[in-house]
Amino acid sequence: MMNRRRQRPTSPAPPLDNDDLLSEILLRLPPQPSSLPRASLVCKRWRRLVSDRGFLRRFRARHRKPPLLGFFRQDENLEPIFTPALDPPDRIPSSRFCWRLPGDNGDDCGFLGFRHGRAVLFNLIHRRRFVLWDPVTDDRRAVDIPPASLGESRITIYHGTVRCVDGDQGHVHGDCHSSPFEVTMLFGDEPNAFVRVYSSETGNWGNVISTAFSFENLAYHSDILVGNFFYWLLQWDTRNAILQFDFERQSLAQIDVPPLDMHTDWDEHCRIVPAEDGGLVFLVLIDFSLDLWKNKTNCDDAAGWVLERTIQLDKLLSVEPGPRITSPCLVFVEEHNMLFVSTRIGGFLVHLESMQFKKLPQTIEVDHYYPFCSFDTKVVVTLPA
Amino acid sequence: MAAAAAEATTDGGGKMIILISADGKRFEVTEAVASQSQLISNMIEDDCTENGVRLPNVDGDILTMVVDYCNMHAGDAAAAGDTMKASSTEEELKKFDAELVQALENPVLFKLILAANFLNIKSLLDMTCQRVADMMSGKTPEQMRETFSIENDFTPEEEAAIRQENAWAFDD
Repeated sequence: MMNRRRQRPTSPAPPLDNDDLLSEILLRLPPQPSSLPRASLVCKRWRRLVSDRGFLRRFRARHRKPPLLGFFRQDENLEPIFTPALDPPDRIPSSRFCWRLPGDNGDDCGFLGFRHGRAVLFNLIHRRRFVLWDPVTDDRRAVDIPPASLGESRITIYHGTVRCVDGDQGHVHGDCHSSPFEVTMLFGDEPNAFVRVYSSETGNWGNVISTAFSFENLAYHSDILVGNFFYWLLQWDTRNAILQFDFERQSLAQIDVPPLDMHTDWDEHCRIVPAEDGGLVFLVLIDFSLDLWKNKTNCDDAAGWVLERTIQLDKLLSVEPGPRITSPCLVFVEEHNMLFVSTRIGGFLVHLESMQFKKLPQTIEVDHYYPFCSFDTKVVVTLPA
Repeated sequence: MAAAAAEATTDGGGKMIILISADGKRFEVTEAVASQSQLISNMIEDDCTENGVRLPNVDGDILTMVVDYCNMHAGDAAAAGDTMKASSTEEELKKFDAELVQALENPVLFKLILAANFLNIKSLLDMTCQRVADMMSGKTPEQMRETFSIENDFTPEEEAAIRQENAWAFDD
């Protein structure tokens, strides 16, 4: 029972004088990033409670879904840069998650991918090394890519991404700082594609998994993690392809795409997202018209893809499309199973099944963005003596 | 509608017990209604509710609210599939819950939290704690101190250091 009390010369009114009850209340603050810093400034006791590791674990477990803080994308030097998505006081400035600190003359690195609070960068000088970066704790870890993967100079790294493999019951992605992880690297060695997975638990690389596949003249790619499958949508000027990596079976395969009449300016406007039944949905956005193709794997239709519906995003979100403006930018937010649609009047998080949406203040330009969802529960600094 | 539901439960033959508040007010409720309190549920199991259950920590006006809440939510706890115990619809319950906590002044809300904690009624504790958290939400630390009469025990240096940690969180 909750009966631990702390006697103070000027006690606040019960139940706020009771640590357990006050914790129960503070646990119910919204998950927005300003909630706990603000509570921690009320008084020393509140600060002690909201800094407690057990409290923070319960806070995350209670909210389950970490808030979307913003997006990472490549800057002009190919390095990651953060764009906040929330309004003040939850608007975390770009400088809070800064890859290149002032005076840092380290090797140039190219930003490859991001998931579960970690960015994968490729060391452009060393060329056989990637760096894993946690923007909340600023932990940086370099891992060398084994020579067997890069024995030939014509081998190209196309993508690298990470997934948290924390098996603890109750683990919530959004605070995976000390959790074990796997890095999946996608290489091209014409005419083959291959994948290798690095495990932080063993410190070892898995086998080379390959399939016949040509990346030549690749224009654009995006990626999603669905359960134990990893998918890359690869796009050229006039065609698409999907590569599927099965973590369990350790297999890499190309899967069919919908029969689209592709145009050269489409590269940013196709996405794959998970369907509720575990399959895939292929999205095509032309102006404000969003086509949803569903992959009917057990269907007799040889193609397997069916145009399930078309959604008029301008009508749904009440955005006036004219005078002529560019199509919105699409980003899939895995943690919320929602599509982020950026328009000139703001960003929207749209749930594709229910079509429910909420508006975010941020607009972002068309680019390749990685959403960053986190509780940002960094351990607070010790007070000055 | 709500009253009819409560009566149906009573007529259903549930055994009645008496709850006695700190100021001596008596409330007759069915065991099913009272069992939403884990404390009372344990007492019923231990067969010690014969002479009424004295609740020296809970005033009559607060116990009135708790009993209303438990009557309204009795359907939740009732065995699924028992059509006799027609529960209120989810919408009705939400409306009832919202009205119960929205209008309360802080001192009453706080007493209700203490009662829910003492009686160990999880859903009522959850709802009342959420109400206080909602009141904190969006407030600056100064506003929170004022709302809840909390003394600032930081030195100006300490306060500045904490603000510095996450300066963005204090921008309005």
